[in-house]
Amino acid sequence: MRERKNYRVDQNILFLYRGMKQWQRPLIPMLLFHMLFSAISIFFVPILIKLVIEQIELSRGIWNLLIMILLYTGVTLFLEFINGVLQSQGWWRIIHCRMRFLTKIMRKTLTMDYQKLENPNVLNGYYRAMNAVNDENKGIEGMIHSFLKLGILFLQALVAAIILSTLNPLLVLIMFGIVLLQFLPIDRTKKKDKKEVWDALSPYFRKLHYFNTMTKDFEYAKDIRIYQMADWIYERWCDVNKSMQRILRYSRNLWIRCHSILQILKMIQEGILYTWLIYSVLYGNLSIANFTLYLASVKSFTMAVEEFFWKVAVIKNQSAEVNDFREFLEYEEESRKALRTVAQVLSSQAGKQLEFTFDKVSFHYEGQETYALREVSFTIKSGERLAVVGVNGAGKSTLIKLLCRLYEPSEGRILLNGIDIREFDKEDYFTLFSPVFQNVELYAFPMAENVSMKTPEETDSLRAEEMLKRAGLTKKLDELPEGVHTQLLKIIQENGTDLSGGERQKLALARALYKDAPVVLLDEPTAALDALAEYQLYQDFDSLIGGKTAVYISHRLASTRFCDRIALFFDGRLTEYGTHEELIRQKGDYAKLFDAQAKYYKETAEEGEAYEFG
Amino acid sequence: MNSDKPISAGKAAKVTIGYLYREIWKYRKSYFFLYLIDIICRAVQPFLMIVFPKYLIDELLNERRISNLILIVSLMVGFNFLISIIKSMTSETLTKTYQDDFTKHFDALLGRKIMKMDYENTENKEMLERAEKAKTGMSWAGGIGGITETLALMISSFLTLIGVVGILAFGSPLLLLIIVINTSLNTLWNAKKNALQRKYFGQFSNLNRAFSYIFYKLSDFRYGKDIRLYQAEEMMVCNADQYNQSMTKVWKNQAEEGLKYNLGIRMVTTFRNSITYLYLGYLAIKKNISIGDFTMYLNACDTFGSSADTLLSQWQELIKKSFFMLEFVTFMSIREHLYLGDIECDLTEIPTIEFKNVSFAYPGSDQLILQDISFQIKPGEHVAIVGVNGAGKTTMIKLLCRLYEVTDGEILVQGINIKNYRYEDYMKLLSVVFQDFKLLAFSVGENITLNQEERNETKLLDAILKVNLKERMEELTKGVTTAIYHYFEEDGFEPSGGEQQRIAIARALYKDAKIVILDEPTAALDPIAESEIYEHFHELVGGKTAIYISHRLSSCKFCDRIIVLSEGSIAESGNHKELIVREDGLYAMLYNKQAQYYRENENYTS
Repeated sequence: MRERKNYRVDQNILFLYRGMKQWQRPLIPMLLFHMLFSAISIFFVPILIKLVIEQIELSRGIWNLLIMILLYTGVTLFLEFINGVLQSQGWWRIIHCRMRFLTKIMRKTLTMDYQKLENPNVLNGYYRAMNAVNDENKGIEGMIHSFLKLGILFLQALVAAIILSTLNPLLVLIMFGIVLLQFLPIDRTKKKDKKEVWDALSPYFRKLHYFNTMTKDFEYAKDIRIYQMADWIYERWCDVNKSMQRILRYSRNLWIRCHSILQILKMIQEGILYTWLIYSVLYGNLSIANFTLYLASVKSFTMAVEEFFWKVAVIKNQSAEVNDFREFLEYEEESRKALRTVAQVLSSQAGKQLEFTFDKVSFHYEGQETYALREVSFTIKSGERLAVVGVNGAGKSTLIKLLCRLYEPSEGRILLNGIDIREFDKEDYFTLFSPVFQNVELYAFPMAENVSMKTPEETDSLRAEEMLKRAGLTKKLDELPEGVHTQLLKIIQENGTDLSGGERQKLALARALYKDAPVVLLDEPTAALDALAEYQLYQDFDSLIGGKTAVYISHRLASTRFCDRIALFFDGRLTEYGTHEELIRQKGDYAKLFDAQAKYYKETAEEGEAYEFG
Repeated sequence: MNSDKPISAGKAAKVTIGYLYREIWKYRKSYFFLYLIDIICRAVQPFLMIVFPKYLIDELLNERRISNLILIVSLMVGFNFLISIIKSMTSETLTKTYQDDFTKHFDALLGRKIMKMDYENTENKEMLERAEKAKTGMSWAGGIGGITETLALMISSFLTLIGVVGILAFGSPLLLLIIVINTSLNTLWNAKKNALQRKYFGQFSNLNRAFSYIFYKLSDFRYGKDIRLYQAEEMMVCNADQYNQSMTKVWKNQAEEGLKYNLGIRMVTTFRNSITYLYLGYLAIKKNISIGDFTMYLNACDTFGSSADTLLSQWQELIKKSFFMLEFVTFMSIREHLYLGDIECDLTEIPTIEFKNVSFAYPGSDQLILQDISFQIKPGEHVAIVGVNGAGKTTMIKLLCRLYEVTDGEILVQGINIKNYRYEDYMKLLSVVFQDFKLLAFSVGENITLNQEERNETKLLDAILKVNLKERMEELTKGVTTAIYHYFEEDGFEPSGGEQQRIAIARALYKDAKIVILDEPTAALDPIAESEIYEHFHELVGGKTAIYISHRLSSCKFCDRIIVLSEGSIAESGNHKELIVREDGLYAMLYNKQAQYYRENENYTS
């Protein structure tokens, strides 16, 4: 794949800045002022204490003290007030920006090439991008907060350093050096921990994940009970936990060692600091007031520097998350706006015939070597019923996705009335199809919108209702007090209605009818439909769509016998193609498969020959 | 059972903590020793910075004895070092070798609970959600460590607080009064702020649900095909924008309404500082206290403030986390209702099975799925149960397997109500291959034998041979010890649908129970492989009692008897030959309908 985008931290900050400027302009000065005021006000208290102690030492009158404190109170109140306002105003504005960034991902996901969306790499990219907008501490929002914090820490360290350098700049350097020294053992331990602990743990995490999902997957529930597996699985789970424990114990030892070194460094640091300051008091005329101020400043300085470097590591991580986000948004796509529209082609040709031709079409998923489809060639004539049959994994669904341009062929081409479909505008090409896919997905919106798939304003409720009735949902509609305006699913509204598998199928049918596209696609329903019910479904469907071109998918040969043409797929190849009668006469795979399913019924036709067991 | 009635915050914390610490006590007692040390270290450390600077400053201002100065500084730095070292040791140990393990252990307990709870719960959507909530509740609470850390912080800051109050009460009671008033005001406003947050959270959670749905679920590629081909992007984005705006409004309102409390807290803190400095400064100028005392009381006030803040914020944390964790705790305390008998089961004899006036409705529903069903299966008889989708076939098997209890009537095995058998015993009587059977990510062998300790190699090989998996096993690098899927071994293998089916059947054969039940799969199997397995099955079962649920009527012909279910009742019963000749019979009708697709072609095939 393409090399990954790698923006620097400052480039990402600029990226966030642009977003904030666009959506929440006042936010930027707000954040800058907040940064400045927060850093300054940190020093109010130590300076005040110094001043108060000076007053005490000099035994000045109470009035000086009072004025000083009133001054402090006034200035602090003012800054605190502004900071408070800035903080709460900033808070919701930042979240709002995060949401806007989130919407960008959503739009991207909804419009990017479907083929890309199914690609595991892109899908991982999507999850990583979501990670950057999911959480206030991660990625985008995290980076804004971190940047703010870094600014505050930097100012804080700067002010502290300036105060300290009035005593001796060398002290600043020494303190700074010791703080930096701390990162050596930390870095080493981190690397070791990653390599020897977390990498070693990853297969165990996979196992834990398995146990967690498996036990909560109720599909396992029957087997677990009948075969009494619960205790056994639990024990194996505990074994994995124990193995992880051993590795983690090692990690603990690593870190204890690291922390010990850090504490020694800290002790040295404190030793130097106190010795230096006490020495200055004893022999250098340092006042006690300044002694306390310098003490506080050193604490403030070392803390700020230490935290600054931690935060740099944090912001780097967050910046990497923002990179993921940008990478996803910037996935390049082939140009979708092409020269022709379907209408142009149809009007230039006689009649409204649509003829699709597969010309040596091969397809494999990006990054995979095995072909899902290999050199498939055939033609779907206008108004024809085509059955696509084969066992699971033979390439049936891939074929459908290629036909409606959810996928692009890896090799070969697909022609519509002799023109490569890639030459059509994609959005326009999509209008040709009314598909019903394997899993009917409902949306937690009103039923009418589920049928129209349009915004409420563009939805024709009457038409939606009519189509639902035609699809066989009249009874269901009558049961619902709000009819087509009933909210589906209970996800958004608790009084929403859920539909059964069969009803979902019918709704999908209504969706297809509402769209009224010239080509209808029906993928086989995966729900445990028995052969009879499936047959019935296909029949009903077929009678509803009138003279349109239709493609039906099934692994049951019987369900699609009414079709004009049958295409049998095996291992990604179109092995047989023709009418049912032709294929039976060929005595090839189709005939064999048909025979396997038909065997028993034939035997009874011959009456009585059935052998029995037991 | 339902968590409908609101539970108070204190109660939630009490229940959660009670449960967790009891379980931890049962699991690893040594934890509490380290936990205590950790708490004490945390509580003591702040006092180093309160007490020692006082002596240091007083010494510097007065006698300036070098030896005393060295002593004070080394004691201060030394103690700080010691406590820090102990603290980092205990906290590393607590998090890495205890709390982390506890979280995993509780995960496993939850897993076991789910595996052992009444089966009917597993088909209950609400229960699925609760199990999910139990798990997410645990992770939102930050695992076990989330609760124990919070509690440790609370206890240690409480102890610190007591110490500070001691110092202040002794030295300057008026100061204590000031900071107590200040802290109470802060607490009050914090509480108001939290109440506000809860109020908005209520408004927010509905929006949030809609929002998460649209943003997270709909970006899922499963929806991608429909959205593209039906060009539904605008429908989605329009809805999303609308929720986004509503949410921003809620946040904005919350921020604006909460501002007064935020400002209040900031003001009060400023005033507290001012008054403290003024008062202490006054005392020091009047020489009532030394400068050392001045700094000590200042530090004490600071510590009081920060400890009180910690206590308060951790209390809020604890409440929040307890509510999350409560989902886990209440789930773990769901009671099982399955009746457990104590009659021993005779596992040697092939039993009779009798359904006696059995009716069944799913819990909470009035609709009878089975109505007054009665029939008997003789030892060694092979019975097929047929009927259209929803006729009640699978339900009947679930009743026989004690996955559900009958609503009315009784099921007898060897003349005894199956309820009255010891549950574990009764399960040993059944070998079932469900339609939606599942294999585990362990080795093939373990999938068949299910329990290593009692593994019988010859029986295992025999089962593998019977289901025609021997050759396939020999192809695998590690034979029967090869893992299925890739969760446990990188080089695990992915069996095909047909192979999975065979392994599931081998599992049933290995169990060698006297009653064998096979639910025919509707999933797409290669039809040739499928027919091969199912023809063979009758041979494999041999003389045992067998029940066979069939969707393809043709495969029932091998059975001794066919029971035809229709709308929850037995419509017909008899063998294939008897039933097929009944002109108006349901079986003959279904059979002919299925057969017709195939029959028309005889002239081509034969």
